[in-house]
Amino acid sequence: MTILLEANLTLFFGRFHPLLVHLPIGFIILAGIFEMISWKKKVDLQLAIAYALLAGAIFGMMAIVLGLMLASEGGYNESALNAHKWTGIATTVLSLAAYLLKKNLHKAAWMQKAYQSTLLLALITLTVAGHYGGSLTHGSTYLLEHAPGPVRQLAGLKPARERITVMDSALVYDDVIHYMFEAKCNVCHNPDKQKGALLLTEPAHIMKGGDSGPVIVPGDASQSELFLRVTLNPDHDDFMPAEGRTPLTKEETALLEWWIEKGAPFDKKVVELSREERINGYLREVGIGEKKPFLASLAIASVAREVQDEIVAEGFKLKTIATNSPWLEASYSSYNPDKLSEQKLSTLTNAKENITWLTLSRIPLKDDWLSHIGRFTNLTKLWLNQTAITDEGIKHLVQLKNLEYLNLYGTKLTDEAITDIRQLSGLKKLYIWQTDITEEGVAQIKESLPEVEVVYQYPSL
Amino acid sequence: MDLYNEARKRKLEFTTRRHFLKRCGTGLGGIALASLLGPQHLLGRGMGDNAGPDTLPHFYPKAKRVIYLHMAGAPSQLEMFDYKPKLEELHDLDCPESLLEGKRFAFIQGIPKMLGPQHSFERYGESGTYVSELLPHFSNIVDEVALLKAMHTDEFNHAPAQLFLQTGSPRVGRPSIGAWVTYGLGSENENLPGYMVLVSGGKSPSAGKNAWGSGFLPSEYQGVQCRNSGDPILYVSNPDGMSRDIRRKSLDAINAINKEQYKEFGDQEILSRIAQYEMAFKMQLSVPEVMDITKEPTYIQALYGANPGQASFANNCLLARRLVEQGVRFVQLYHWGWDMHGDSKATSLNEGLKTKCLEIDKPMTALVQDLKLRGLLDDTLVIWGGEFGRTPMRENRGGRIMPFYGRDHHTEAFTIWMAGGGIKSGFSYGETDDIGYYGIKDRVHVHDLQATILHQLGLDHEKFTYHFQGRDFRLTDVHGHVVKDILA
Repeated sequence: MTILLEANLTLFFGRFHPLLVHLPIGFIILAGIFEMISWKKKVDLQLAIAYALLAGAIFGMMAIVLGLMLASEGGYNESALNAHKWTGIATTVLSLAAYLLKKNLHKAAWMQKAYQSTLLLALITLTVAGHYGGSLTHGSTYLLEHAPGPVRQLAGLKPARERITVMDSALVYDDVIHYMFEAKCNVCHNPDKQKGALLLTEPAHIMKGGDSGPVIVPGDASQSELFLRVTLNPDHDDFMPAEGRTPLTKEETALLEWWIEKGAPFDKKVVELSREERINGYLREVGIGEKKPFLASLAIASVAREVQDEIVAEGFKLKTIATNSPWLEASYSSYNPDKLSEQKLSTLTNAKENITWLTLSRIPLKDDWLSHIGRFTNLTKLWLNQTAITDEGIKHLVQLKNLEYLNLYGTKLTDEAITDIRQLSGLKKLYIWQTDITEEGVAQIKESLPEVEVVYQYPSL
Repeated sequence: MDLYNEARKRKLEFTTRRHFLKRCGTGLGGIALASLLGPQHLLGRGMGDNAGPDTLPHFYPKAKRVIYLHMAGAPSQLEMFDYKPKLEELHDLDCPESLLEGKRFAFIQGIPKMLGPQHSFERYGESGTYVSELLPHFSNIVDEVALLKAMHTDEFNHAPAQLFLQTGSPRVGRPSIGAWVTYGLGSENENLPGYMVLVSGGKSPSAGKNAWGSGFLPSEYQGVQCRNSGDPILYVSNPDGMSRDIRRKSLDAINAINKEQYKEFGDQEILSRIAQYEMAFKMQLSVPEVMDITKEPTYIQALYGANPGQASFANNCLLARRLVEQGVRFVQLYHWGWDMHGDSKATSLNEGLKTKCLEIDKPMTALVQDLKLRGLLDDTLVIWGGEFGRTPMRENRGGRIMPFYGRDHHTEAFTIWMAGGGIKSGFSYGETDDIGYYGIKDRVHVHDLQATILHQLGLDHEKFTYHFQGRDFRLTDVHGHVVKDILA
């Protein structure tokens, strides 16, 4: 018995309320459904209906007792709790009344009418009680959180703020911290639940803190209760989020620490706060990043199977760069005894939108063949190293604005090619070791493309 | 069909319809329960997203190939990368008992002495990375690499630690990372194996050939080891009197017989065998060509310090570059001889380690530079490191004073470096405490490293599985986190 005495039995049983409460709900609704069926179909369900109502009343009473126990734990919005409590009690009482009336229907004519309206009323109070119960558990904004704008307006809610995910304009509170609180904390720390008298939905409440005083000390995460509680050992009693809810990730705690250390501002942009490189990484992890890379930003259709087969039949290797991706990488082996021809290249152009990586290393390419490659507008990486191309060939590539990687090492290129290379505005890496392009030429490329890394000679080689 | 499936088939043949119906009660209940617990698992394997290699890679890969330079025997991080001036001050003092309590070492017994760094360090590059005097060439490329200074592992003996690093498990029987990768992504060159192994330093690694085995994966994915002299692969040339045409005809005949066998028994390993015969036939042409480093211009040979015809790490580095250039997916190098316990001059930190560093410094530096110049470093991931680290204490095997300075095996902290393949460059990740005993910031476990390598190749280590003996296996078992902080 000591075990029972040691434990807080009220709370122990109270937490079974959400479990038990669905039984009376089911029984009463069942009674309603049976009533409709017997009304339409002339099936004799009278006894079943009566028992369903009785069971609803009995389990309803048990749910009421457990519910009162749970309410004694505190931390709930008073008015919502009252509404839930009284509608719940009313449902049970009405259910019992409906049962008694049902049993005695034949005794008086008025009972028939009274029965119908009692059952209807029970179903209505049941719906209301259920809604308030849901609000108590999940918060009153839960239901319509993802509702379309017009529905939210009808319900008198603020239209949801569209989260900004671009690093340059994202707000540190609204788009990072608030977003994290909403996902991980506000199930319990919302106006309806207020566990520990703490609300994390509005800036003023966050800074006010809860039962144990302020939870955030701007500029000092190690003194901030909120940060300490989420970084405790997950087995600790005081660890947050409690009750086995999903903990914050390593990235989220790091961002929280960073935000508090920077003074916990509510109106600043992410870019206004100084941050180490790794914070950028964490921000990316929670969905705040720079512009999407080119390949991810463009949605195109996959190339038809037959077209791919046709290209493979010409001796090319063709493969998607990731599963379910429309993007293809293509290559032609210099060991292929069937040498590459202009006709083969023109077959490859059937997939010119989709091919984004193309390898033609060590192939005796002719300059005018490159006119085909110049049409692969979505190319991001191109290997033409150790091929026979000359300055004339490069002229055909100037339209490749998305090209990021160009490997031209071991070719006969000279400074004549510089003018054309300079037009490749998307270029990030250029390989021109073992060409006749001079240091001066490299300087000219860098002048118009300051972002590009030109690899042409290793310092210590 | 293997023994396990054979036995299962037999058992099923004995099951009658009556058995089936009798068991249906629990069976249907089980299905109902499964649908309640996790409907996504209800349809079982093959319907999910972790099916075979035809769905790979999972996402856009940053790296397409890997060169793994494994220093078998575990080099001393405290003499090469992890500079600890504080340890210098503590040199020759007794190790405090608090550091030894509850610890087990491979050889240290009783109270060892602390051992200061035996070589001097300086900062190099824009990143100001500390590198020891033992690696003068490498100090030129510190801005091209990422140093992971708080690596840790679970195993303190060479063979299990090597297996742990290469297969994710300290016991034999799991596929090595190279086998996983070639199983998942295949080779880019159909004339060469996707996974090649080059060994130097005098001996094979303690873990033996299991370190590049295919475990339960089809055996065509095991690493193909190349020899340092003679034929690079045994019997790669045809014997006298056997022309390529005759070879082709005999292979066709053997393959026909094997296909008959496969029709009869359905054993996947027969298909592996056919594939291996075909690969061997192609390799007879491709291997002598790619393995011939005399084809390289002399200045490239000099850059690596390679000497054709001699077994050396330098030759193997040059070969590694030639292999990845030809589209080999995973090139694994082992260089043996880093186990500096201090029991002889050759295993001392002052002499032996110097010799070893001399053997690798120029070639590994040249490899990174050469890959960079050819534009290969962008999508080739180079990893250098041992299977564990070494203690900040001086080894005192059997409680006695060793004749030379040496260090014992240490699992809690060691340094590796990575270059290319979408890894950030010119920075160090992770810190150890003042004496290099424990990692105190950004520790990276061996499983994390494996997860990160797979990630760079576009593979999700949690989804990349192989079904064997009733369960799905992963390289990282149930562990591992991708080290996102080091990704470019």
